[in-house]
Amino acid sequence: MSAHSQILLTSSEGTEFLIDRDIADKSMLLKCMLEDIGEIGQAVPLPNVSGPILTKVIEYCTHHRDDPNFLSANDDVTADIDEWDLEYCKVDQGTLYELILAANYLDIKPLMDLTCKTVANMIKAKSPEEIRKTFNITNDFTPEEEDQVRRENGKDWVDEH
Amino acid sequence: MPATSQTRTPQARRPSRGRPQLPTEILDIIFAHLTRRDLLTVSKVCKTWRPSACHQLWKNIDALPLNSDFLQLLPTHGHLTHRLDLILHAQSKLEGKPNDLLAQVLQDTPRLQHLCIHLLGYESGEFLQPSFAAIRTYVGGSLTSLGLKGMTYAMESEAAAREFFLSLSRLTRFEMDGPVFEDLSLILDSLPLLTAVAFKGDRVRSRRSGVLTNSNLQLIGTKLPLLRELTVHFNETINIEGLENFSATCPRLTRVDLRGCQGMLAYDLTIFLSAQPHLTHVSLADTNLNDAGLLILASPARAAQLMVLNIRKCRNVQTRGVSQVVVACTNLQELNVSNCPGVWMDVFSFAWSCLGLLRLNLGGIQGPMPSQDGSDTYVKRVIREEDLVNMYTQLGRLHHLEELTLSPLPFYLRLFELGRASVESMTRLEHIS
Repeated sequence: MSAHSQILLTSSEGTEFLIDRDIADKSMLLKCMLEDIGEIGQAVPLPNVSGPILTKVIEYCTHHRDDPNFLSANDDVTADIDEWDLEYCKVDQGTLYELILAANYLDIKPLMDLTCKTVANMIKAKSPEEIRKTFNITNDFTPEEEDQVRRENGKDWVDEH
Repeated sequence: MPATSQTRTPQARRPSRGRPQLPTEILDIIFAHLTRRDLLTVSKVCKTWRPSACHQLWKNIDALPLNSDFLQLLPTHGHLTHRLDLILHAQSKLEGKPNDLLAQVLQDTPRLQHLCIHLLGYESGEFLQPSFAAIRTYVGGSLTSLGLKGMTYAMESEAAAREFFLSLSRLTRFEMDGPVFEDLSLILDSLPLLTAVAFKGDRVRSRRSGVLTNSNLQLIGTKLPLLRELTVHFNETINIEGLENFSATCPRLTRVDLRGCQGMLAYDLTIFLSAQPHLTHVSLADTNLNDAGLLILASPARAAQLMVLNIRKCRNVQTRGVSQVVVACTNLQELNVSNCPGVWMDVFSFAWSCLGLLRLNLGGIQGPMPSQDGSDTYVKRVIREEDLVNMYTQLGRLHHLEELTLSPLPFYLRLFELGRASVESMTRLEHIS
C-alpha cells in the first residue's frame, strides 16, 4: 500500500473519501497543500464541502482525469460545453450553487468555468421575473428603487440600438 | 406601481435561509458571460445582483453615442470602465467641443484599458491634437488598445505624434481608419509591444492619399517583432511585393484580415498563406482568393489549426476548395462562404468533419453560377431534392451550431423536421429568412 498515491478527504459531515493523488491534484488548493506540507497520512478536512457535493466534484475530476487540456486556460466565453459536462450540470439550482462554491474553494478552474457558464446560460434571454422564478429570488426593490434602477439603466445611455 | 412589486408577499416569497447564496466575486464571474442586454435585465432582479450587474455593464461599453445621461453618471461609475467604445457625433445635442467632451469623459475613467473613438460628421483638423493631449494625460499609461476612427486627416506635427505615441507605453493593439502617418517608422518605433495593428478604411476613402503602401507593410513587419494580428481593409495598393517582404520578417501571424484588398491576385494570396503557417483566423472576404489558397489552409499539416474562415464574396472560390476546408479543418468554429457564386450545393455531398462549428453563413448559396465558357454571363441553377437531403444531413450533424444563415434557400423549415433535435441547442438561429 503506497501512501503517496492516495489521499483521504473529510467532508463537512465527517464522511471520509479516499481518492487517488492525481484526482486530488485537479484541485489547486489540495495540490499546493500536498506539495507544501507533504502527505502527512492524515485526512484533509474540507469543512466547506458537504458529502454529496464532494462526491459530485470527485466525479468531475475523475471524468477529466486524463484530460490534457484540463488546466490550459480557456477564457473563450463562446466555447461550447461538451456533452458529458452538459449532462453533469443537470442538477437542481441549489446543488449547482454549492458546486460553484466548492469549485471556488477547492480552486478547480475548469469546474468553476463550467458551472458559472451553466448559470449564465440559465439567465440568458429571460425577463427579470423569469430569472427570479428560476433562481427562487425575491424582488426586494421598493417601487422607488425600481424607478431609480430604470433611470440609471437609462434606455438612453446603454440600450442597444 | 410596477407590476413586479405587486406580487410580493412576505409569506410566499420569503428567502429560505438554508439556500446558499453566491458571493459577489462569483456573481462577477458569472455575469462576465452575459451580454449587455442580459445584464440590463439582471440589474432589475434584486438588490444583491444589482451591483455586480452594474459593475459588468460599466466595465465594457460598446458603440455608445456620447450623451448627457452617460456624462451625468460617469463621475460615480466611470472608475469601473475598462473598455470604452465611444461615438462622437457632430450633430449630437451636447454642448461643447468634441475635445472638451472627450477630456470630460477620460478624466473620470482612470482604469481604461481599451479606448476606441469614432468621429462622425466633424470637419478635418478640428479634433486631433487637443484630443491626443486628453488621452495622454488621463489614460495614456493604462491603455493597452486604442482605436481612432473617422479621422480623415493626418497628424499636423510629427513631434506631437511621436510624443503622443511614446506616452502609450503599454499599447499592444492599435487600429485606425484614416490616412497612414507619413513617417510610420517614427510611430512604430514608439510602440514596440504592438501585437495587433489594423488599418481599416472604406472603398471611397481608401482611394485618397495616405493609404497603406507596400513599403509601409514591410516596415510593419520589420519594426513589430511581436505582431500576431494584421488587418488591412479595402486597400487596392498593397500586393505580393509588400506581403512577401512582410512575411520574410514577420512569419508568425495568427490572425489576418484583408477584406476587400483587391490589389492581390489569387496567386499572391496563395503565396502569402503559405508564408504564414500559424494562421488560425483568416478573413479574405471580397478578395481574389481561389481554391489554391483554401487548399493551403486545408493541408494536412495546417487543417486542424484553422478556427475562423471568412471568404464572403470571393468570386474565384469554388465548391471544391470549400469542401476541402469543411472535410479537413476539424476545429473550425466559424465559416462564412456567403455570396460566393462559385460555391454550390455540392458542398453538402461531402462528409463535413468540422462538427464543432458555432457559426455558419451560407447566404446566397443558391445564386446563379458564372457560366463555364469564361464569358460574363450567369447560369441559373436548380436545387435538386437530393441536394436538400444532403444539406439537412450535414447541417444536422452540427450539434453545436449557434448561428445559421441560409437565406434565401427555400424549404429551410425542414431543418427542424429532418435535421435533428439540434435546433433546441441552438441559442441563436438568427438571420434565417
